[in-house]
Amino acid sequence: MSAVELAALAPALALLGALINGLFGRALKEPLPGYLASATVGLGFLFSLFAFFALQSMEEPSVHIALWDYLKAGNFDLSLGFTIDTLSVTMMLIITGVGFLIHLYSIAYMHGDSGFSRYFSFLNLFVAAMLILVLADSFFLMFIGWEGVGVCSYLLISFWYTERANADAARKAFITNRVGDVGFLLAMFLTVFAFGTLNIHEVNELALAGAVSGGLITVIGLFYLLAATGKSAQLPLQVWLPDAMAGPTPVSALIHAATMVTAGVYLIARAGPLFALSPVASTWVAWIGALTAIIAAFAAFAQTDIKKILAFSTISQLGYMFVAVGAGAYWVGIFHVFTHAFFKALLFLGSGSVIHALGGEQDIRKMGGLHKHMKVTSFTSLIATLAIAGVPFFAGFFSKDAILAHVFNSELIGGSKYLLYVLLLVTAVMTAFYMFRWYFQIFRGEERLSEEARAHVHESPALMTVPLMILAFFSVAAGYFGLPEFAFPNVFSHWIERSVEAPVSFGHPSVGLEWFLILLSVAAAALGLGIGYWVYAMRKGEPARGDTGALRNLSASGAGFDALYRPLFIRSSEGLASGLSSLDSNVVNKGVSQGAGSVGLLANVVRWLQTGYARQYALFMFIGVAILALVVALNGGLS
Amino acid sequence: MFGIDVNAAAFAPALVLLIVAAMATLWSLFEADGRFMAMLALIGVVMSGLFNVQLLLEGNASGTYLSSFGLKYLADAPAIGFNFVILIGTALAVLIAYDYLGRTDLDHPEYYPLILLSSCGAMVMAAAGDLITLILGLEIMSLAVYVLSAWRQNARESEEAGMKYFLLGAFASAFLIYGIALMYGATGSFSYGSIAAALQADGFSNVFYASLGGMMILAGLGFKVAFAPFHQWAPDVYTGAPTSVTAFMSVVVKAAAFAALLRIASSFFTELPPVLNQVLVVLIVLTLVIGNLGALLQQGLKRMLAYSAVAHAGYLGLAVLAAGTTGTKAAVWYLTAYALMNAGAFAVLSLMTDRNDHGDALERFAGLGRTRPGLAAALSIFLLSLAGIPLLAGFVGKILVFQAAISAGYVGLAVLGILTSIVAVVYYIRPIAYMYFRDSEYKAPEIKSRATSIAIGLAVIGTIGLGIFPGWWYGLINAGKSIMAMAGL
Repeated sequence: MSAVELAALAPALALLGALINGLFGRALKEPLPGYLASATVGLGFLFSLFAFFALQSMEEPSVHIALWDYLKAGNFDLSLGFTIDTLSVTMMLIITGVGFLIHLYSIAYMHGDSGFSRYFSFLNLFVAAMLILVLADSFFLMFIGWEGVGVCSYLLISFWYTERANADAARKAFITNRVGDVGFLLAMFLTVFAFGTLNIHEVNELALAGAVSGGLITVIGLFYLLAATGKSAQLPLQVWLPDAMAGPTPVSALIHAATMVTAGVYLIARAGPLFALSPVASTWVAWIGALTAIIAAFAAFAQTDIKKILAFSTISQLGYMFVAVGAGAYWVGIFHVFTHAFFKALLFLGSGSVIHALGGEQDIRKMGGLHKHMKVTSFTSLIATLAIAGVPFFAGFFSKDAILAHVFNSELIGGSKYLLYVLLLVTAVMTAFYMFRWYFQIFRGEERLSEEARAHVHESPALMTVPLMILAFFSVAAGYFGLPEFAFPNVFSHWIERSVEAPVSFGHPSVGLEWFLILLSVAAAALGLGIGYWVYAMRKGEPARGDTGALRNLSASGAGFDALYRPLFIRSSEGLASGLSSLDSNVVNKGVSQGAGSVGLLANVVRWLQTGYARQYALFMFIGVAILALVVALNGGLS
Repeated sequence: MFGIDVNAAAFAPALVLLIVAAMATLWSLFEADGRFMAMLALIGVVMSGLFNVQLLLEGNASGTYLSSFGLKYLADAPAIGFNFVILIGTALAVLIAYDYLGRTDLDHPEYYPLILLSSCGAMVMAAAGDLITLILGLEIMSLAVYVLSAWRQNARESEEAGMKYFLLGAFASAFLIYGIALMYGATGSFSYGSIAAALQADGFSNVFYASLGGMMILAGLGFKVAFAPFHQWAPDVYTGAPTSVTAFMSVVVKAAAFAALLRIASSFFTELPPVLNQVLVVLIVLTLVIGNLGALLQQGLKRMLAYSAVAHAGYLGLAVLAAGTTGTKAAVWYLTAYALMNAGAFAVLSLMTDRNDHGDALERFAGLGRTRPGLAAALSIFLLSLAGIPLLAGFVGKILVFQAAISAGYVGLAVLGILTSIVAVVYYIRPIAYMYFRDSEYKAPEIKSRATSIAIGLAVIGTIGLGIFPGWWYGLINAGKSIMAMAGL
């Protein structure tokens, strides 16, 4: 077994960890399940590193490993296998690397929790499913990983299930994701119909060879886009992610920031050649990303929960990634996945450290001035804040600037690209602003702690702060892999493009214009931070009069999507899932007057027909047969 | 002998069941112990299974299949596949009943002979190569099930279930027989092959009666598989019948009726005017929508599973539309998975309810994940599989029927199937949420049964195993074609 093939063991290792912790976890003493789970992921990281170095020296940087023939039904051939190439190895390094740090951090964070071993079992299971997702050689195996991470996300959001709201949030996430999964399933069936295979590499090759008409590719692309919007929390399926913050904070860092939610971006990058052949589908991807980016940034303004701000910021940053892959700049999308994984995981873990220190407090209005109590958390969070705000020399600056430049120069998405560029630039200002607010309200300014929290406040243990420091290092360093191509060496683009060879071309404006674009990005970050400084540092806090403004309420409600979906898909502030679950509480007996919406109405009609009288059933059968006989007589008799 | 061929090997699996049923009936005069009868029934099922394995292996090796009575009784690949489904369903139902009947004062020795007779009838239906054999099998199967549904003599629901099933079943049989008569009148033949040939012939003039007959046959079988609007008996009967009987009929009766439907759909149905196909499409649409919405509203697990059985009839209907190509194999595969996960779910249910099958309300499942972790895990697996979550058997079944429908050109229906399967996730996941995310105020009865546990264990292994290695079973049932296809009919 070569070094590259060793990487295929990574998911098996994580699965083994999940099994051991799941079956025997309760028999193990507390820190042991945590170290066991961390070890399996750490080993996976080592194997991924081996593969990474082995791939460097290979002519053909792609290794295929066949697993087993799942099912062969005529031309419907489902064989399972892994593809280890530069793209999947990059994702593996992110998943296992950041995952390993988050596992370690969790050992301290989950200390004393009654479900300690259960937690690590789920976390390992998630890593296994996510690795299968990125290693998959076919859309089918990717779908299995896709569903797997969905199930783990469900289990971990509802980890503290004794609170009803957590279970509701989990169900909302699961069912919103199922809507996206319909897109995935339909896209797969269409792919088989059009290409006769689900193997991603073959599909890409056939598409490039012109085997399938452009219209069909567009339809397939749009269905994969629907799938991606579900998993990556983009419009119109973004509603589940803010609620998903109900899970433990390290889970938010790993699943709902660094890895799982980027699966949609990965899917589109993997199928890059397919998307590159459909400017229509690509334009849709870019527009959905841009609109999501700006709407989510707006929604982040008025949030007061330390994690919800970050949740909306994640949705917004994922929007950037969608614009990148929509514009055909696949390596740029993955590059932002890469840098974002570090600074967003860091922001979440920093939040976790704060929440931990304050004994569970999550309202930023009751924080402030924490810098002097927890210096490591504060400094590392500051680095992450500067990174996400797009301040030069931090990682986020390079990836965000690459997105902006590539959108500006893309020749795939037509004339609307300048509008997209402006949207993203405005979003960059907004991002810097709300992230400044986030950092300042927590760590600087006056202390607004409750008595209880003040007594409790302390810096977190080393098991938590060391991962913070490592992530902080990469929140700076990661950016230097992908320096602007026009003036500097860029290793990241060459690395990823060895796996994704899509026929997309980009314009090459003059060097002066390139520098001007960079200057604009810098100005956007500076403007946002400046406004933030003016509002929160100089004017001491939130503008008081804004508390009841309509715009503010709109922002606080996550741009009003829940309110919009409530009448559309069953009543319910918690979304589809708990809306349907409200039928639990005997809505049936209350009838239609509760406004159960269209589904409820139909279901009640079904119930009304089901009276229990045999004579009535017989009558219905007779009427049914009579109608059918009439139809057949009218049509069949004349043919 | 009489100018017809009698090939005992072809109907050996059904014959074994018949012989054991007869022996058990006689034996019950001397030995009234239900568990003894159950063991006897299991032995019968295993022997029948061995004959069936023999048929399968020989058929796969030689590529030709047996038949008997001049193509009236076929032992081709679909029939053998359905025999396996029927035997799996019967075996699980017997294991469920093993302790259940004694516990609920239903232990009369005639129970098991009736189950075996019903299975025998189901096999005859699956093997039928003409309409007369079909109706014979159907009645053998149904009469036994009518009695079994009313097995709990002192409970109103059970009596009502049996009564309702019998009345409406007789009604449906009347449609079926009338349809057969019309078809015979129009084509002069009962055999599927000859009917197809007559319909194809130039100058065939009785299109009107043939299509009316085809429609009536469709309605009669539609009742048995619980296609809407002929489904209304199903929730009431499934809920009222003793759980061990519900497990049996939700699997075996459905499999047999689908076997007949598929054979008709792959032989002469397509020769009839296209309006009949449209009628079938309408029935499937109604079934998918009504079954899934009905299940959404239920507070009790048993009735929810009853509606879910209706919904699954809709998914299987997609396979019927593609019966000529890959649909039959997809249906056999789907029903194998369905037998395991559905009977498995009923097996768990039988350990949760009280003596009168009451107490299946979802609230009673709260906290089961802690009080009885094994049971809760098994039920979760069955429900997730029914919902079509990947790497469980039900997922592969759904993929196969959707794929069959799409390749037969029914893209819209497949989309509807995929959409309704999201709705289905909601009601399948709700009991799981109760089991794991709620704390119980109610203490579940501590019923233990080794036989039922074996049934649950086998069903879990099957559900997971088929979900991870579906190719193995698909390859076995994949080999070979229907005899009628080989004869070019």
